[in-house]
Amino acid sequence: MSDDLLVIDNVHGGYGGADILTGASLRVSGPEIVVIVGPNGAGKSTLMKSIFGLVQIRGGTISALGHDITNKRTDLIAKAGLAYVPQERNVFPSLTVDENLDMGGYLNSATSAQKDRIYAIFPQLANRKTQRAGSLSGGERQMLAMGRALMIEPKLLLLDEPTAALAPKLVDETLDKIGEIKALGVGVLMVEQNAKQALARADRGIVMVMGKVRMEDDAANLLARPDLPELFLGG
Amino acid sequence: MTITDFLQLIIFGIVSGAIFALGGIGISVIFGILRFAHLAHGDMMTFGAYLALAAITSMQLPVLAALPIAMIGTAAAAIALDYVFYRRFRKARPVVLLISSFGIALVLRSVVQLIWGPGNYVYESGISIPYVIFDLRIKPDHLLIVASTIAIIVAFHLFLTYTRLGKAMRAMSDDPNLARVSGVDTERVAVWTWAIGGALAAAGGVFLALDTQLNPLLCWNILLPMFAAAIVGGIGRPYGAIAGGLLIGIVEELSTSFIDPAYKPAVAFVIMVAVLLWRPTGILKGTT
Repeated sequence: MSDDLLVIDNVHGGYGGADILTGASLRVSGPEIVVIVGPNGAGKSTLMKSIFGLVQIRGGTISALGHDITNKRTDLIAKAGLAYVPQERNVFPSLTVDENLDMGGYLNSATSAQKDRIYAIFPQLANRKTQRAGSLSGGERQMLAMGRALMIEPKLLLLDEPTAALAPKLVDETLDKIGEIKALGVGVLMVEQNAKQALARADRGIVMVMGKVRMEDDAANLLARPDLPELFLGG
Repeated sequence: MTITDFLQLIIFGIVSGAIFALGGIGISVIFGILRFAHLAHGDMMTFGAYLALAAITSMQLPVLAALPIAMIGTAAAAIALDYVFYRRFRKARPVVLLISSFGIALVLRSVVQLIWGPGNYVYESGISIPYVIFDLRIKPDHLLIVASTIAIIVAFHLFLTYTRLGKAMRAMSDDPNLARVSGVDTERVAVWTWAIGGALAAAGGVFLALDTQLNPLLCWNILLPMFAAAIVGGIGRPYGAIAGGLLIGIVEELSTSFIDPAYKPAVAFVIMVAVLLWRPTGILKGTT
């Protein structure tokens, strides 16, 4: 139990009236990559937001690193050691690349050694330190978003569709980077549309349908199932 | 219009532009971070100008020494207003805050009238002899206004660029949710936003009072050009408000040689509309 990074237990919640999450439960233990797949509208992004206090949770509990974080203030959840890269609007466009990393390290007063560590993981960013994040390409922006999130030296990193809107060549590159991040000892929970490519690099896979976890298995087992496309489409 | 007249008007324009900029920065930063148009900003400036008057008359201080007292006092007043009032409307729609801030404007004005009455005051009576350089008359007060404004704006720039809090303010103006995700305590940033907006407002108010004379409507009367400055510059972008303030200040003064000075506020709006036709989000791309 003690190495559970994240425990989501029977969570209900949503934005306005109706619940989008209808009893979702899952667990991330230790540095592993867990991929959530499922049809559009299954509540994958909503689940990510609910972990970070950006969506109202109306039932169930979420705990991370031994703290109850259900409906806690977003900045306090970051303080607990979690990092989150939203799908869109995941960098500060008017700040430079370097300043974006400063903001990532806001809580631990980032040192330049920490920033150099990020630039070593994402060498493309090192040449663009003084460039505004809003002027980066899609791929660079995604790298910066992950770099910003890593500045806090999280135990658990949440990624919402990190390869959405990236060129096919960049999809593999980004997913490989996520493998490197895991090797640093960080647990990764990610939502991904490129299910096969993501599962190929993941430890476990979770299929979400209609606000619930429909199926959970080792990534290799899920990948081997002939009915994966139907599962993915919610059949 | 001779070259001398032209340059003379430019000087007057820079002086009023500096005052518009000091108010416009606060309007812009408050809009960027707290997401509403703060209609009480003019009256907050007037309040600061009267605080300086109190310091000058009670302690026989020169204006420059009363300035920091007024800035700190107004910053404290802005934080107090936020604590008892604006804080409760954090999740309200912007229009609710807009109308509420109009109410606060009336409250601030009434407080000023209650304490100091409706009459006119000046900081220092007597005539100040202008410096004459190449036929241009430069009043010592104008020199003090422009030099102090430059010093304040440089300090503000260094704060935004190099401090942790300054970066957090810019980040929150870009994207409040992502700032929270990064661990920024947005309530703390909101309090500092009021402190800085209030301090800069007081400086603008003191300078306008120094250039003209105090009365309870002092800065309410320049609220429209200050909003125009913030919008022209790109609302939410403090550097844009500086550019917008100077542009509007200078063009307003130049316009007085062609049309009646009573039309100055209209000139501010013509500039605003013209700039927005050219760049719909302002000189620097503003918050949406």
